[in-house]
Amino acid sequence: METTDIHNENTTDSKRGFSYKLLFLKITILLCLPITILLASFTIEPLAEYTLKQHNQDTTETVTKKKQTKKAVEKLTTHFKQKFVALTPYKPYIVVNTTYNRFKLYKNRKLIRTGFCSTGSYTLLKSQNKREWIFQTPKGLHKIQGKITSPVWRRPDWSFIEEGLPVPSKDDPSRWEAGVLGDYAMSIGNGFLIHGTIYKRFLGMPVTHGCIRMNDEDLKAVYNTLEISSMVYIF
Amino acid sequence: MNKSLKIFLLTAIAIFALTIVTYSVLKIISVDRMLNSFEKDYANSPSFQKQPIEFSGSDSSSKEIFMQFAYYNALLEASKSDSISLVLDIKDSIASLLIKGVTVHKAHIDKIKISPLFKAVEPKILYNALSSPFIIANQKSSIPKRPLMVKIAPRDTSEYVPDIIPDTTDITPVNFTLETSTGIIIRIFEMPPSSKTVINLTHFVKEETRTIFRDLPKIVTLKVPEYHPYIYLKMDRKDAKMIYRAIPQKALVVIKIE
Repeated sequence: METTDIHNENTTDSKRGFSYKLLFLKITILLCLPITILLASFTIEPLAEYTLKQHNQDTTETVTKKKQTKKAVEKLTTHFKQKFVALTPYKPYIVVNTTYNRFKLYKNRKLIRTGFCSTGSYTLLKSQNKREWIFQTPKGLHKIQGKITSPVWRRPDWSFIEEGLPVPSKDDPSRWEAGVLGDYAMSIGNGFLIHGTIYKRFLGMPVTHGCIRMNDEDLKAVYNTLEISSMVYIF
Repeated sequence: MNKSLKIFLLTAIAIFALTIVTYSVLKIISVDRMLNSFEKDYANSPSFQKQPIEFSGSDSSSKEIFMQFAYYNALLEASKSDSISLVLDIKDSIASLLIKGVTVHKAHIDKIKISPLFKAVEPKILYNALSSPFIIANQKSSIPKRPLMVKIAPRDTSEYVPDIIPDTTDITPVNFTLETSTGIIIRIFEMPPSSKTVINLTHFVKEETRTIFRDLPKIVTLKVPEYHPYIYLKMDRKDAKMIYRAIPQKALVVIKIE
């Protein structure tokens, strides 16, 4: 019986001891938790601040870099814009519209004259011996290569062929025809000319063999304005 | 109603609905694919003196500056070409023709409709894409490029008939489609339509039919059809005609969107 009692007492003691330990553990945890949080906050806060600072530093750097790039691009855009604008000549130039047969004459980048003209008829001429010509005004950029007064037309082969005439030799006098090209002519290369016409009623229509025809007044103004190497823009 | 007819109708409706659903799904996928390929194609930034100028426009003002830069860069590139280039300023509604940097014609654009892809794509990619001119790969129009008239030379003077005044009556509707090498479709419609008849729509009906016939086999085999970003413009018929007749087959096109 005694033994049993002793044993029971021991059990109760050990039970009491165990509950103390548990209580102690609980208190420690309860105390430690806020302390840990407090400590953590002390540690984390400066760390976060530092990181934020670092981040802000990065952003500031990026912003500065971006601002610099923006300024550089702004400068470059102005430079490119000036470069592009400079492509339009101050010297006199002419723009010819082949779709609606109009011309615009410019000087110092200002429009000084506009009027009707005649350009290529887009006729495809087929000869009996299978030679072919397309009567079109060449589009793009050309330059005035020569200026002459009282031009005389040297009739090319197609001029005879389209009328059913026999083609004469190259130096045959029948090739030369005066008074059909007006008072002035300006060459733009490859045999194409800006010249006058006796067919004034066709001005504003596509009727030529590729040359640009104008009336007498317009031709005189264009002749007096354009110089050798002046630009001729045809579209 | 006859039972077999009912079944037939139901089957037809089901097939029709399924086709529409499939087409819609595949079209959505195709837009996504195009977006990806657009981003892949234009991953490189333009460079100046071998230094790439990368897009870094975070706000609207800097974005505008970068887009302006891209535009002038493209204009200068196009100016190097000897042929006539087309400039489409969507922002200011102006279409112009350029020869060696000189604007030879300016036209007002009355109406504009652009593909949502241009808005969906990243500004950086758009900047890269627009910083150089596009190349026209295909052109289709309701009017001929060169209005050629064939004339057979007479055998002798007895057969010769002097030229009569050319027919300059302008009645054919002017509508045309330009396709860039990167698949962008630029369609120009005359404004106002010269005729309200079907003739005015012929060109685009043809084009749409071609697209449907191109897409149809792909839909049947459940393949993703092609998506083409588009720019639809309406302008005066005279301007439209001038532009179409002026630009060469492989013309350069400069586009300014923002």
